[in-house]
Amino acid sequence: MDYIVEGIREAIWLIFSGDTEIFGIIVLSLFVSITATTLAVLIGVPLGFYTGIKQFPLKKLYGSVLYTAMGIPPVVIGLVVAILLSRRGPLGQYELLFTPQAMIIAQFCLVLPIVTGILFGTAKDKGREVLELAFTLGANRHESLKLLIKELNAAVLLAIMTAFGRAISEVGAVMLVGGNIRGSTRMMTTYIALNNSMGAYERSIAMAIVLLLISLIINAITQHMTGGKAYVD
Amino acid sequence: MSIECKGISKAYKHKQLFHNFTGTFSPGVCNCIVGENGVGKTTLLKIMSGILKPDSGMVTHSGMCTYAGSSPYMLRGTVMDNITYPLMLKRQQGRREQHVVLEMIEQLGLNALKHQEAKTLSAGEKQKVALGRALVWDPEILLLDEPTANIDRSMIEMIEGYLKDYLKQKNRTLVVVSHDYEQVHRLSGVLWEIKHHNFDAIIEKRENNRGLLECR
Repeated sequence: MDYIVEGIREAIWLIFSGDTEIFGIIVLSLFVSITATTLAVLIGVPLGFYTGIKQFPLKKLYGSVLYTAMGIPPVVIGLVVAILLSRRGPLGQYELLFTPQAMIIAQFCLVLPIVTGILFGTAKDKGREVLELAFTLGANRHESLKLLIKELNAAVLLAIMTAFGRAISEVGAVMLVGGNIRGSTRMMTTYIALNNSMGAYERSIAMAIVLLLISLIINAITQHMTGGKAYVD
Repeated sequence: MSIECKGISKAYKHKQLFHNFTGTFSPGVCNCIVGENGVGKTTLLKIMSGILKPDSGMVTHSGMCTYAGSSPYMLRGTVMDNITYPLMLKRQQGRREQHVVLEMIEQLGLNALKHQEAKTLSAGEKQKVALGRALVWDPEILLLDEPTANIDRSMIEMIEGYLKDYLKQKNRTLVVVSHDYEQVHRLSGVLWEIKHHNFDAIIEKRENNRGLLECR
């Protein structure tokens, strides 16, 4: 037990001592995950809304594929992205493997189905009802769209937070495409995995505390923005 | 402000609901649509409102038209927000003021609930809100799907009175789907009965509940 207590004590000291390596890793992790989530939100939100509301052939099959994609193991996505970006792969000429850009691509592929899927499900269930109501009350196209966004904004927030949570806490994909290179592609999760395997528990615990704090802060912000209400009713 | 259905046909997968239905829903009288479950009453009402498209045929009407369903969707916000919403739209802006909303809330007996989150209301209360939301902007054509299905007896009389008052105004068309034959009798000027016949629907029209006037 002593090594755990000692680990926590040293971890707290490490955080407050301003260790440059740890802070560099935190900044890189936040940058990669925020960029990947932003790109996924920009594409996934309109795509989810549109496909949820619109009737088209094979919509059920599309929904099944989308929901399956939401649960794809990160390691599989990492492997596919690594193959595509490898020197011999179709995108090898861009030399992106083992760079932060490769990690952004992998996390983007991981969270895009999550954002799209959450909004597809919500828009499919509620979107039509909202648009029908707007139509029957005499709203024009612009007003209908405004009402739809207002009614489903909690689902958008839920999608963003779920996607970011998944991106920041993911280890398999970034390990494969980033390579966990010190000072270049080392992320919080890969740092924890590495230090744990080396027996450097205090460093692992320090980073785990930071990850936990980030999760708590995100949750607090979400709670504040939704006024403490449920994301989806 | 009548609604005219010309050669309306609608089928869902293998079920033909109605075929080549033509009829005029006149203003100034309550048009009641009755029929068993699944015959297509709500579908007909939704086609008339423009929410659904018929497989063939067309619906023509002039003036503003609204539809309130039997399990209405409540917007985020309070009862007051929901009833105010139609008046905030570009189309109605400036037509009515806040006192109209308060009057409507008062008349529907929702005064005590006006600041309550609309999504937390009971089914009957939600229906009252939907009715208020449909009536507050005074549309020329009002399409109601079982407007009193979950509402207590004491309020039904009041709502029926409100609907009759609505019809007293010039050029107002009211179409109501109902399962309550007593209510139909109290309200009806024209009764439209949808019946299934040989896998097809016949829509009969009776005036003042007296005898069959028109078939198909």
